[in-house]
Amino acid sequence: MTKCGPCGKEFKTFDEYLDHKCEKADGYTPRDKEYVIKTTCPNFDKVSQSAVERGKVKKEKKDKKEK
Amino acid sequence: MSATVVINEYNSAGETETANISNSNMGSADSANLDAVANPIVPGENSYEKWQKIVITAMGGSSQLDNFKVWRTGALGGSAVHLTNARESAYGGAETFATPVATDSSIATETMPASEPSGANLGIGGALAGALTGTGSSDYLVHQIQTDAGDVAGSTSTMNYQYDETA
Repeated sequence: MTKCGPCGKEFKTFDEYLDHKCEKADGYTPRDKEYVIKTTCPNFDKVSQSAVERGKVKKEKKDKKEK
Repeated sequence: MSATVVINEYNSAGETETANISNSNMGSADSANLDAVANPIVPGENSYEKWQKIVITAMGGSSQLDNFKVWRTGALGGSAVHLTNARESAYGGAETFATPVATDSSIATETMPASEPSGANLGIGGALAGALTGTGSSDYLVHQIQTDAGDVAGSTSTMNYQYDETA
């Protein structure tokens, strides 16, 4: 059983949870980043950008090493 | 576009999954998003273990997520310790869920880092070098606070969960 933390609705499967439109997230589903921004992590865009930047730096280092 | 990432918590013998938790409050109850004031840890006792995962619900066009790190910032009260299964070396692999306990954890035995670890300390598929190329999750992160009888209730610290994302 999976319970959506923000709206409290319970789902038999994780996929059902992923597909639900969360009322606490203005109808966005857990697959949408807005679901996170509107419920638990308002600065998720910044978190995400930092993660992408770290990944970019790591990939550049890896590519450089392979050349 | 980028991946959508949440923290999920697992509680009770039935492994009830609470998705997208809003906090990681530690206390004397085995529940997600618990009220730490209503469920304080009695000095000398432990919090219930937390069983959590970093979960990717959508890749958002990215190709890979890896290098999962967890750590705590902020001091614990008195001589309390915060222990975890997360570690950069001698990682024990993916844990199998067991009902969270408030006795001394046999799984959370390493001190939770108080600053960003230099490398991954939470695995994917049982390995620190693991990566996700589609939706999925980290291994279980298990952590627990163990207090001393002389400790004072009410410390606040922050759990940090970090990942790298390759577009």
